[in-house]
Amino acid sequence: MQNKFLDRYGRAVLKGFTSTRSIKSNANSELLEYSSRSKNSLMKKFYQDIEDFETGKFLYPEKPVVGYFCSLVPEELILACNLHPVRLCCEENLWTQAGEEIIPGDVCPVVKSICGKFYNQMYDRFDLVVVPGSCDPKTKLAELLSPLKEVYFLDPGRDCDYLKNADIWGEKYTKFFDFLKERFHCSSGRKHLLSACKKTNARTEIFRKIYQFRTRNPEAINSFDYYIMIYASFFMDIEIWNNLAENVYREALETREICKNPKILLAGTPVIFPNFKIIDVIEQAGLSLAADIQCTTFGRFYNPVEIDEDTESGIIRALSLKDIAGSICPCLLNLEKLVNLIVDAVSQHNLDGVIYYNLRLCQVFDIQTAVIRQALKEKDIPFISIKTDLGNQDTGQLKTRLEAFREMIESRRN
Amino acid sequence: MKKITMTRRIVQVFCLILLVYGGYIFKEWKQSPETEQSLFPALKAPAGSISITKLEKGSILWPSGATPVIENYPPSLVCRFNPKGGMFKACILHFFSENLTWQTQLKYLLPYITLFILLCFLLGRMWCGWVCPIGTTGDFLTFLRRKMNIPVKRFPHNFRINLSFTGYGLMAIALTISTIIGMPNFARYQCYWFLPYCQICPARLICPLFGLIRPNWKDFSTSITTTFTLLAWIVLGLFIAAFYFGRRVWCHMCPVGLINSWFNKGAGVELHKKPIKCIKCGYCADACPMGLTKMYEMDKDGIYNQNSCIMCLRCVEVCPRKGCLSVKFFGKGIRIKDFFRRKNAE
Ligand code: SF4
Ligand code: SF4
Ligand code: SF4
Ligand code: SF4
Repeated sequence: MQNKFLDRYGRAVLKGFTSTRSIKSNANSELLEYSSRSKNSLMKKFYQDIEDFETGKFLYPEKPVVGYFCSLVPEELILACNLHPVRLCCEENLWTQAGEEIIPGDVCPVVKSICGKFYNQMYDRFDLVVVPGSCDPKTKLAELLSPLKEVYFLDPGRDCDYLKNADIWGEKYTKFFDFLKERFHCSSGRKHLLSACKKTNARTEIFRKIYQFRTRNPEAINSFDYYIMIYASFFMDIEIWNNLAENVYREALETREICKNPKILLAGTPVIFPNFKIIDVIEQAGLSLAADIQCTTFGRFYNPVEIDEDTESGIIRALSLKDIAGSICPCLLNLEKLVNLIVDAVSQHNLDGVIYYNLRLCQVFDIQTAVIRQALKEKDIPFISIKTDLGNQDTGQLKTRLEAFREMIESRRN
Repeated sequence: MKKITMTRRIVQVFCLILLVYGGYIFKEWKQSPETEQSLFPALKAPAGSISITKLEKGSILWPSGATPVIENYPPSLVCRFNPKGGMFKACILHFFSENLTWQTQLKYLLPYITLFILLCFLLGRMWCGWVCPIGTTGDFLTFLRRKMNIPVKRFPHNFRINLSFTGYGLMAIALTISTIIGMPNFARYQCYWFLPYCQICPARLICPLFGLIRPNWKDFSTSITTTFTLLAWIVLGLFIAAFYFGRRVWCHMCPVGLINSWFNKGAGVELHKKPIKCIKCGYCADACPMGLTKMYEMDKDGIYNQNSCIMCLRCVEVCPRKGCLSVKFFGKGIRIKDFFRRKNAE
């Protein structure tokens, strides 16, 4: 199995690029600002953990840590091997600039900032990084990270048709599972898989409750808190997260605040801490983000693992269905599903409009914009697409556009 | 386990007990075939022709359960060869074979056929998914396989659908033979060719075991009985393999299930899909014990009852999107839907 990609040239790459600069992230000040807006006292722990994580002080459990990208990598397999999974994603301008050294040019800012973080020793604790071949930059990322870390490349393919591909996915996931077992010397099987799925299903249940609750009452857990919880779930121990999230939900249930702002749905690029510009602007424009359809939130949490055959291969197959067939990843062939989801969510939750958010330089999100726009126009759903980068220069302009959008929605209401 | 599956298991076990041991439970209901108070006229073999009750203990068709509580033929493999104490007389294929040989007049058959059609029309092939004792036995074999961590063998979709031709074949052969031996010229073949499908039906070998009675599993007295014995063994082997390595593969081949399946489209139980909610996760198709895929593929609103569907409702249960797949009874939502609501549903 090929897991070292730049074996021969890795040293040269490292030599050229390890200019460790001491980068001071401004995550702390942003965290402080967001936590001050929180209405929920129990959110503190989430904010605290994120601060630790961003500053490298986070206390991982005493087990090997496996980093992975995207929802296409089955977290349950990592959990079943008694490893600590950490989902990676980064949208921070600072790290993007650091990553410029490795990836100059017009490339996806997410991949750039991830490289920036890795090459600046932010993820030293990791034993293995799993990279899926979801999009082109991710595929190359597997090679770019290999001088630093052991990398496993998991390519699910881009066709998410169940009938054609279920067997292939099962095989690929099984290979990955076998690799993990061998690499970390564990003998996990059916029982471990079942208990891992139980944990993630518990998380799904809590997430669904929060998601449903927010569609009715988006202010009780505001969108900052919501995305902070999502981001914390990337690296926190899943059981601790479940407990905390459940408590936050219970506390939020008690607030009786009625949301008067127009409620909108946010689709498109995932919102990752600290790039909360878009939700900040949405709030300032007097809109309430009541639902979202993004890979980190809805795509990752909404479907439970549905184990039909509780044999080992059956569970692995069920995981592949959840993570690939049901995926809303824009890299795969599933545009109609995405449009259906948006239309259905708008009518089901009585939402007033849809914002399609697109991080500049990500082509897959960009390409689908026109189709979504036309489809929603036909259904008479207000739609606005926003394309922006990680910088803060266009905040004012975005705000004006969204305010106009709100006025349009309000005039429709009357 | 989910609520629908749990309910189904309970119903299955309950039906198994009722259908197989019902005669012990409702003893006082038992009536001899001669009793005139019965709902329908009891079907009787004309004098001279062979009747299964006349067969001796040594023969393959020796009935261990000759006195049913209710003389009727429900749409599932309720077997003539139950332990003594079977609830119903036999399965519908037995009914047709027997009466073709006896050349019973249609007017005597009509009440039975009408009742059968009514039952099928009400529940479609739900009889297979929820009632049939042989289906339940098969599900138990599947359960054992899972516990032993043996992966399922998934046959290609088309192969499975084509398997139903086996059912057509078996039924056609059985009915033809039964008709032929009913003709006066061929009456002398009756002792060997009576109820030809029963002779190779796996239920004949399995059902007596429920009553701890040894089935007549071999008869090597003549070349014809030897052939039947060997065929029965092959079919039994196929039956076990089909359940143990696949899921409900046998039910694609079963001739009785085949008859039920004609009523599936248009049955009272309707399965609906709203494709706008579907996220194409494939859970439904993956969980379907009959390996059907229409509910996954369909992209128009509507009913997706299929011939091969045994109405186990597993697809409805596993669908992660509330409102995407649903069951209705004659177009009406089922009132107990709150009970069936998934824990994880929206
Ligand atoms: S042996 Fe088979 S065909 Fe004959 S009565 Fe029993 S179930 Fe029906
Ligand atoms: S198809 Fe299966 S469940 Fe239906 S009657 Fe035949 S054996 Fe029973
Ligand atoms: S289509 Fe649904 S109800 Fe019918 S057999 Fe398959 S899972 Fe069961
Ligand atoms: S389980 Fe439901 S959502 Fe998934 S493919 Fe089937 S119908 Fe669609």
